[in-house]
Order: sequence, then C-alpha cells, then structure tokens
Amino acid sequence: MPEIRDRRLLAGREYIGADKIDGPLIFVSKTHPVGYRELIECVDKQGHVRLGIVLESSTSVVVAQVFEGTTGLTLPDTRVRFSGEPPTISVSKEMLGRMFNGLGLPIDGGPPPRGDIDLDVNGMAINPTSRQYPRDFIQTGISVIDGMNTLIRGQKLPIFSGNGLPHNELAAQIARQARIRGTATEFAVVFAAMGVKHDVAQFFIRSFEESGVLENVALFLSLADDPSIERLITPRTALTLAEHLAFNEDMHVLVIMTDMTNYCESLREISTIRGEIPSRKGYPGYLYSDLAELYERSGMIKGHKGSITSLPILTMPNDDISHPIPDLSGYITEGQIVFEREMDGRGIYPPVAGLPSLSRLMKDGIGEGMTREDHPHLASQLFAAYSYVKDVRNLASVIGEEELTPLDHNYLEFGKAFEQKFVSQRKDENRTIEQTLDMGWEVLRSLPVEELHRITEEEIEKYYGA
Amino acid sequence: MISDLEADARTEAEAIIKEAESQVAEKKKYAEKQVASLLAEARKKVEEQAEAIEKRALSAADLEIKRRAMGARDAVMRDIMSRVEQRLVTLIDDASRYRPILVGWIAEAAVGLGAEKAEVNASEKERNLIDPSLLSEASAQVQARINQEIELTLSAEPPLKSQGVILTAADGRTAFNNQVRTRLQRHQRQIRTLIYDALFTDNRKEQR
Repeated sequence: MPEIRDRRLLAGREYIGADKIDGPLIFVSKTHPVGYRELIECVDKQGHVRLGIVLESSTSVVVAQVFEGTTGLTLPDTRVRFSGEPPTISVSKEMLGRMFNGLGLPIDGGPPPRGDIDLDVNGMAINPTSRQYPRDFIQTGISVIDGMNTLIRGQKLPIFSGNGLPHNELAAQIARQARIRGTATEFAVVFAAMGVKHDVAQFFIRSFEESGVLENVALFLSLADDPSIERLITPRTALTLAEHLAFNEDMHVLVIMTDMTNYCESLREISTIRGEIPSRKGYPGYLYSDLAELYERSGMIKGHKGSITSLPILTMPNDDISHPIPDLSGYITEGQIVFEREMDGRGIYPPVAGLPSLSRLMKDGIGEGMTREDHPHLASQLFAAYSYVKDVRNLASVIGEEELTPLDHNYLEFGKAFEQKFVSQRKDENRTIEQTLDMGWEVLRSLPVEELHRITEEEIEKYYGA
Repeated sequence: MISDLEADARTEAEAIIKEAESQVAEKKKYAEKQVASLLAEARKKVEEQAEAIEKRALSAADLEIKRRAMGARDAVMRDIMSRVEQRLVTLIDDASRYRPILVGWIAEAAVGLGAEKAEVNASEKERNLIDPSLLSEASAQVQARINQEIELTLSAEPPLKSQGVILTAADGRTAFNNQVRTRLQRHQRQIRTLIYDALFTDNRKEQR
C-alpha cells in the first residue's frame, strides 16, 4: 500500500465497526499506522460524532479513549476516524469571558471563538534552562498567605484541602484580589473545573461576575455529571489557553484547577480498565509524571513578559496528607497551602494550618524593595512562636492550663490572637501587605520582647514598640 | 458658719458643674469624632460599592458587546457556508461543469481509502452522472497521484440523500465519506480562517 502523503485524506478514512468496547475505551484492529495521543472521531449509528484520544497503538490494534463516553456505541455500527494529529485547540484572547467544556467547545450558547493559533493541548513542560526564576510578590490580600506563605508570580502553589472545607471560597477570593503591587499589567484567570458539582461552578461564575472580572476569565467546565474521562483533557485544554495568553499575549495568568483529586480518580479509572499494574492505592505508577506534565507548564520564561501562576486545588481523601495525590503534588509544586479541619470547626477563615503550609519561593520575593524590610524576620518569628504555641497547647492538654508558666500563658494568648486576628479574616476583606505586617506585629506584642529571637534590635525598636 | 457652708457648697457645686461641663464637652467631642469617622467609613464603603457596581456593569456591558460581535460574525460565517452548499447543489444540473468535480471527489476518496476495490455511492442525481467512463477517469487520477490501481464500481446500495460521494472498500471494513457537508466540516477550520481573514481582519486589528 503506497504511503498517502496528504494526512488530511487519511483523516477522512473511516474504519467500520469496533472490535471491543470496554468502559470509555474502544479497540480497533487493522488500521493504518496511528500515532500515540492522536485525536479520533467516533461516529455512532445516528451520525453523532464523539471525540477521543489514542492511548495505545500497535500494528495489530489501536486503543483509544472516548471523551464523551461510549454509551450508545455498538460494535458493528461504530465508525472511527483517526485525525492524524493530536487534540488541538484554536486559542485566542477572544476566549476570555467565555465558558467551554473540557474539550474547549463553547457551552455558553455563543459561537466558537476565532482562534489565532492552533495548539496541541498536550503541550510541553517548560524547559528548565529557559525558565526565569520567579521573584515578583503577588498580593492576595489574605494575611496568612501574604505574610506567611507568600505567593510569587509564576509559582505553582496548590491548596491541600478536604471535603467541605472552604477551598473554593479561598480560590475565588485569591482570583478576585490578587494583584502585583505597583504595576498595571494585563491579567487573566483560566479556571478549570474537573468533576465538580454545578453549585461549585456556579459559585465561581457568580463570584467572578460580581467582582466584575468575568471578562478576564475563561472557564473550562467538566462537571460531575460529564463523562469522567473528559476530566483528563480539561486541565490540558485550560493550560493550553493559559500558555497562549501568557507567552504569546504577554498576560499574567492565574490558573485555578479544581479538583485535582477528581482528575487523579479518572486517571486511576482508565489505568484499571487498561489492565495496568496498579501502584499506591491503585493509582497508576505514572501518576507523578502525569501530574508533573500539568504542573510544570506553569512558570515564567526568559524573554517573555507574561507568566502562569498555578493554583491547583485538591481535596485530600480522609484529610490524609500522605495520600499519593497530595504527596506527589507536594514533590512537584513549590509549596502548599494546607487546610485544617479543626480550625474550620472553630470558625476560622481561611483555616490555613500555619505549620505544614509553605511557600518555597517566598524568600526570594519578600523583604526590602519587594514587600517591607521586616517581612522575612517577622514571618520567621511568627512561625517559630506559633510552633511553640502548638507545643504549649499539647502540654496544657496533659497537665492542665493552670500548671503552665506565665510565659506559656503569654504564648497561649499569642496563639489565640494569631489565629483570630492575623489568620482569620472576612471573605471580602482585602488587606494590604502593610496591614498584614502591622497585624503580625500587633499579635507579637502578646509576647515579651526577650522572646523575639528572630528579629533585629532595629526592627523591634521600629515596629514592636509602635 | 452658715455662710461658710454655703460658700463651700457653692464652690463644690461650681466644681461639679465645671467637671460635668468638661465631661459633656469631651463626650460631645468624642461623639462628633465618632460620627465623623462613621460617616467617613460609610462614605468609603459607599464609594467602594459604587466602584464595584460600576466595574461590574462595565464588565457586563463589555462582555455583551463582545458576545454580540461574535454572534454577528458567526451568522455571516454560517450564511457563507450555506451559500457555498447551495451553489454546489445547483452545479449538479450543469453536467459538463459538475463531472470533473465529481471525478475529483471520487479520486480523492479513493486515495484516502487506500483500497484495491471500492464501491461508489452518491445521491440519485449524481448517480445518473456516474458511468464507467467517469469511474475509469477517477481510477486514472488515483493512478497518477499515488501510482496505485483501483477498481471502482457503482454501489448497489440505495442512493444517498445528500450531495457528494461515499466510497466503501470491497471488504466493507473501511469507507471514505466525501459528501459535501463532511468535506466542508473536514476543512472547516481552514475555510473559517480564510473567511475571517478576508472579512474581519481589520476589525480584529482594531480590537487589539
């Protein structure tokens, strides 16, 4: 058989009848050479076209997963076309203010946007040598983040949460309030929802609408009632648009991906159907590299003005931080914001646990010229003191509060003030970094000056006594 | 003695009155200050709210303008596509012009199909045009393009409802749909780009 040079013609060839259908997977034998991750079109008896992607390709059989599910497909009547190219999306700035499904097709009743360029949704991780080190402080207006776990432009900072905790509220608040100090730069939010319920999606849409930023937001929604398999392509589609906006349009893009746990569940489902050897808790052995494929698309590139800052949200099953999803995410990302159910129970919003939360890029984006000169020492002192508070609380639970020393009582008082004044804030409260740092000094005044080991004399003189 | 007592009482009363007056003044001052601060806070809140409402309204208006512009462009696009389809339909009646088009579509489908034997099906009007000489012309085109012989026959299946051809391999395993609508869909992206570039490029540049 001579080779057909025109790939577009091969894309028109239909294979009539599938050999096997198993869950979202379809098996077709004796095809022409088909590429890995090639886009396919499955046509059912009624002529309805469903998209899919090739997972395995050999001389004997091609295995593909159908994004919209295989319900209603029958073996003899299914026709399969191989497009000869990976799934692509036509991206442009016009996509801002619009709503799409996981495959990038509009679901807001509007026409398909005119794309500037067709991009492969699989994308590529940013080459480490071309990465620009992120240093610009992003003010989120949330004290516990700005003061203790500072978000830096181009950073990937996941929120490790649990079912029922206010992670969506926090993500929406960050999206509403986040800004780079002193610069009027074009910004955009790319929101990818995977397996979330309609009310959660509505919450985000309403929140963006009310704050008047919806025209700068592109939403990619693969909701809980959409085929689970679509969740695998959703973050890729969203990140493809984010890359275009950041690196072709010079915009600063915040990507919110929720819920990464649902994404990983879909990955596990497909892996099980494919008969792969399961790894920890049944997740595939390539979970780490698959997550890295997504997370490593964020950052800044030398020579480009734009950036992608990524805020993936994941709910830890049983609040277990050692679960493979948070565990592996933590290895790839540059820190994490961890929610504590106990704090949420005490009405503290945002219930960010002080000790396990961390921003690995914080040190390079704070201090003189970036936030304020006392920021690094103040954050360190607050962390150290709060850490001691935890010890004192444990001790008090054993020997009773009345047996504690006066100094320990001071620490308990500090802990209370820290959680109720510094950490806790309203859902619409937007604090400047100066307000946050001043608040930090205010709560530190519960402690005697001799206890402030991480702060310089000058800082004590300037801020502690103020 | 009484006058002394009276004087003391008066002094004390005066002192109390004075203190009361100073307290009243102080409280008044404090209250005024509080009222001023509350007013300032309320004013700030109102300003913030007004700003937020303005921002929201502007954003909604911008979004609506964008939506309508896109809707209008899409309507133009759909109109052009349907006119193309209609024009192609009318071409069937002009056999001399339509014949080479049909040959080209059959040859293209045969190349894409890659089979050695294939059956050709088309709409009733088009089937009337398909004769052995047309099929051998298409075979010759395939030979010229990919240097492969293909045996084409007219299908015994019922005619298609819409314009264009479908080729099915003799073994029934593969097919190539080269109907007009499918062709337009296959090349939709390129066609849309052409139309956009021709009609809306200047607008797009202005928008940027």
